[in-house]
Amino acid sequence: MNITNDRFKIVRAEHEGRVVFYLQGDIDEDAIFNQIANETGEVIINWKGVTSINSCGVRNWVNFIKTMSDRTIYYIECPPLIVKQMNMIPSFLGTATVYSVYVPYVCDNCDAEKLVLVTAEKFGSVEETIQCDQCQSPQMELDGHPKHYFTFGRAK
Amino acid sequence: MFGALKKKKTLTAYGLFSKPEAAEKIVAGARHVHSSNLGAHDPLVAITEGGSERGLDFSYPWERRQEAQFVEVRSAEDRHKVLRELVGLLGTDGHSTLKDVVGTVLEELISNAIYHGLRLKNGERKFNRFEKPQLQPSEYIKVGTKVAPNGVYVSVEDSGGSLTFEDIQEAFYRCYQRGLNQIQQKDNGAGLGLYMSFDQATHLRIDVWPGKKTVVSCWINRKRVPNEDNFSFNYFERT
Repeated sequence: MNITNDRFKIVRAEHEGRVVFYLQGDIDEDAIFNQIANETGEVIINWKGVTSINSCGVRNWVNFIKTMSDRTIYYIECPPLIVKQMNMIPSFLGTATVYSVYVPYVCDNCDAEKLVLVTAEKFGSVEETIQCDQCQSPQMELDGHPKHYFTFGRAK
Repeated sequence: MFGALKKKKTLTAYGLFSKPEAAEKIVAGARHVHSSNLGAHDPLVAITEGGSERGLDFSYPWERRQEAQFVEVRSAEDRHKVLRELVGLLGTDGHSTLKDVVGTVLEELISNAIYHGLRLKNGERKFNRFEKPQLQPSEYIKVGTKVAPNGVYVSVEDSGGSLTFEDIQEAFYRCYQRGLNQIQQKDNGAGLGLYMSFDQATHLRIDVWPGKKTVVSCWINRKRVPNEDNFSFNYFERT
């Protein structure tokens, strides 16, 4: 584990022979990603644990990912706050391929929220409404326009 | 509460826009943009036009200034503490779209106040992002929030009064064209804060008393659907 500051850390793990870097906490001007660059070969970035990212954190990541342009990189389990960055700042993605993202749903009836993990082959056909786990209403809606949410896919 | 509006010809755009389309209007000179399927009949348009003409104290229905709780930010450490506390009001669950958006907007507006709003006497920015600023007794940053059932009201006021409409136009032009120079490499920030706030907030209002203070207020809807394209932007320069 590499602690870059008290608000952000990177955890390296291996799954079935593949190296995954789990980013956890708040990414801001103090976040450092050099540990990832030291890894040779394919890089998988798991974004699920990122709780916030500010504009200087975005800049740090974009500057870092530019230095990795010759590497094979996958983004997995991107929460909505990271998807937003990929949509707003195309260079946030760099040369990476997005393997999976969380899609936010909100219940029209009880306001419950739910994140559903969607893999790349379903980016173009995500369901706009699902059933709410809490109140069983069939009107749990995707929180935003699907076309807007998957803008990053068209930018590649 | 608000002083007289500076007499200046302003341009209001109304219709149904996406955020990039609205940004284009702002870059072209619109200080007021109202996006709604009601078009010119959107009640917010009448408030903007009435307010601009009268120059009197006025507020939009989404503003919760009277009900908001205010805290002061006096240092970089305060910024993190205030953010944690205010975002904590929205619950302690993991990811929540509203919490993420409120956190981002608050962070960017507070950072803008610290690193762009406060200036030296010669007009240069006082702090860079790698310093741990401490405000002088004569300076202040006040952060107000009100959590309502249908959304969150946020207000950030600084004693700088240095945000110009031209700053906003430059930021939106640079960010919405999504080119290679979208991100600035300056010491005082990446230049994305206003873009990120405008892109994620439902209503954004900026009041500037040049050299005295800036008040940035916004409303964030709890749900983005079904009215994602209903939003507003208003910039008022006051004397």
